[in-house]
Amino acid sequence: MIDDFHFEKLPRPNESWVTRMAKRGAPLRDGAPRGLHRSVQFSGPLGGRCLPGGIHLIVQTLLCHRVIKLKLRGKQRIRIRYMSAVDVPLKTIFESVPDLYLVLTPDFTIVEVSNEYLRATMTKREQVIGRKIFEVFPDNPADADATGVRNLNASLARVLQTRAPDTMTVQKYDIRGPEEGLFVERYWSPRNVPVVGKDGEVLYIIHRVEDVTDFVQLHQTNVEERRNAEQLRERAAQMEMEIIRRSKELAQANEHLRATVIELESFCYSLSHDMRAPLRAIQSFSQLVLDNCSQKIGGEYADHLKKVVSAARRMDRLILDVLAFSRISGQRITIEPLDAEKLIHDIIDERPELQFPNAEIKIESPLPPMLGHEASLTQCVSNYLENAVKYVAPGVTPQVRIYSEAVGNDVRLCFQDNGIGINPEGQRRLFRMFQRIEGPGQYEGTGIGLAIVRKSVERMGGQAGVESEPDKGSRFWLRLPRA
Amino acid sequence: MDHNLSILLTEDDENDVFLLKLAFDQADIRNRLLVARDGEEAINCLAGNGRFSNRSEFPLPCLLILDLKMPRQTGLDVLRWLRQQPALSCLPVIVLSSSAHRYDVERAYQLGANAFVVKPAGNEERLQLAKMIKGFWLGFNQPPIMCTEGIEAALKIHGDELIP
Repeated sequence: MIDDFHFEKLPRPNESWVTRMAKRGAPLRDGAPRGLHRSVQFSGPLGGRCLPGGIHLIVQTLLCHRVIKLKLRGKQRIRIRYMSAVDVPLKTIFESVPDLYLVLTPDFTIVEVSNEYLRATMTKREQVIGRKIFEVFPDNPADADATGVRNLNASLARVLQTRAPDTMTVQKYDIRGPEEGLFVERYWSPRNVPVVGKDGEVLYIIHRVEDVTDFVQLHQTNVEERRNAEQLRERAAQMEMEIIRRSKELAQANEHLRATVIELESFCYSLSHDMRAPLRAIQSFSQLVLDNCSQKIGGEYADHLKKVVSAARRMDRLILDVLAFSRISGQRITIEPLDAEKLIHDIIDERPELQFPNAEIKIESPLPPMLGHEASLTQCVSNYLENAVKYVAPGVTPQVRIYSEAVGNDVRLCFQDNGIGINPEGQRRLFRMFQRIEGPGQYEGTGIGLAIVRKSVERMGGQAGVESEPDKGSRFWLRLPRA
Repeated sequence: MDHNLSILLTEDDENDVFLLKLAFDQADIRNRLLVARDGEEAINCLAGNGRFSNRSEFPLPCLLILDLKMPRQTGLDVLRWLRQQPALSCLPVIVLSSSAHRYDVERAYQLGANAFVVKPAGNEERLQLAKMIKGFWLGFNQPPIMCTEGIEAALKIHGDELIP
């Protein structure tokens, strides 16, 4: 119906033109309800043609659709045909199409739009109807590469020229978002189809689009994900390379370490073999001379020779201690429940210097079972007890009190003595290798015993320490898990 | 044990040789003490090579006391060689080493040592060891046939597969 009307002599009426007419109070004299003309809203395509006696204008209004005659500028009359909404639901139907449609005049003025289109472009009907499409939908100024306007313009021009449908490739054509001045990214799949009149003239262009933003974005996300995955793979490969490189370095370091250990082992080996041999000779031959000729060489020189023997013996002891210390970390140990009390009794029973009247060692029974390695714990307790009876003031009988304390899940085994005691500085150094606290020559020792204790106890997962005051005795302790 | 049987001491350290000899004398061990100065010499002596071929001068020992750390062939080399000799494989061996290095101890027993002793540092302990060798190895211990009846007899018995 709408196609039937063409303006041939007058400029194509558009909404603003007719509205201007209506607002001026152009008479509607064909019996249209009074006042209706004031509420005429041109929301649909307008059409009309020149007929004898005036211009016939077909007007779609919100209320009805009728042909009526209007007299324009007092001379020409125009018929506006109102059509009843009941008669013609096409407009409503068109608006309700579940797709995105826009109807353009050949000069690209928007004359009809589907609700879906409005929703998709976040526009309102009154914002678009009667306006040029590129006014309503300009390019995103923030996007320097925007080609939406140019491409659509070209497509529409092609339609006008060829009067054939034109399908466009997917376009990035951003739209104004809800926030002022900010555009929202949108991708569209447009198709422009001409509405050709009887005379072969393009009356309208139906611009149909599909919002493919989600699809494109999903695609882009996929691409992004693929790229991320690729980057991840690259990173993984790099990390793998790094790991390989590091493990090579580690292997080299291990090799180096192994070589060092072997070197150290061979050092210990020759320490025990080559260095002990001359000591053995010094000790044995000196003793031989002492045994056979002490009268001949005289008491004073015999004493000197005795010092040679005891020095050689001490040095041999030192070498053995160093070896024992070096073996601690190399040895495999098994941790098992140990009867500390029995272990201590056994040690005392084997050594006269720990027995009455040489020493008074009191065990506060019962001592709880502890978790440790038997040989290591025996070594530690022996070293503690040896020290306890050794480092006493001259003329004092060594007294040692052995007792236990519970510390959480551990047992602390304490050895309280009546010895010479140790100053705080000495206590700090005591457990280190080759540290001897007392003055030289006063007491015999190698300075390794407590280093062995600490290393052994730590290897069993425990701790060793001392509390002491000079002249008030010391309390050596070791702490191991309770069995 | 027959005092005519000899003991072969393989030791490169002259001091140790002297001191052990002294201890053996003090312990009144009357067996002849042959001394090899290194592992190679010990092997030659046991195999009867070269100047050792005269068995009346260098009789087969009934006990080998073996130091480990020696030039040319080590004690372990000697031990390895010895246990591969059909005639000599049963010879009792006491390893006498400067240290009880774990590796040495295990290796020595693995290769067929019969005892492993750390060299005593003092004269007193050395004398004690000598007395124990006399009492146990030269006393209570029953030596194999090669020591008492000679190599031929030992080989014959080995050949008869009396010893599987």
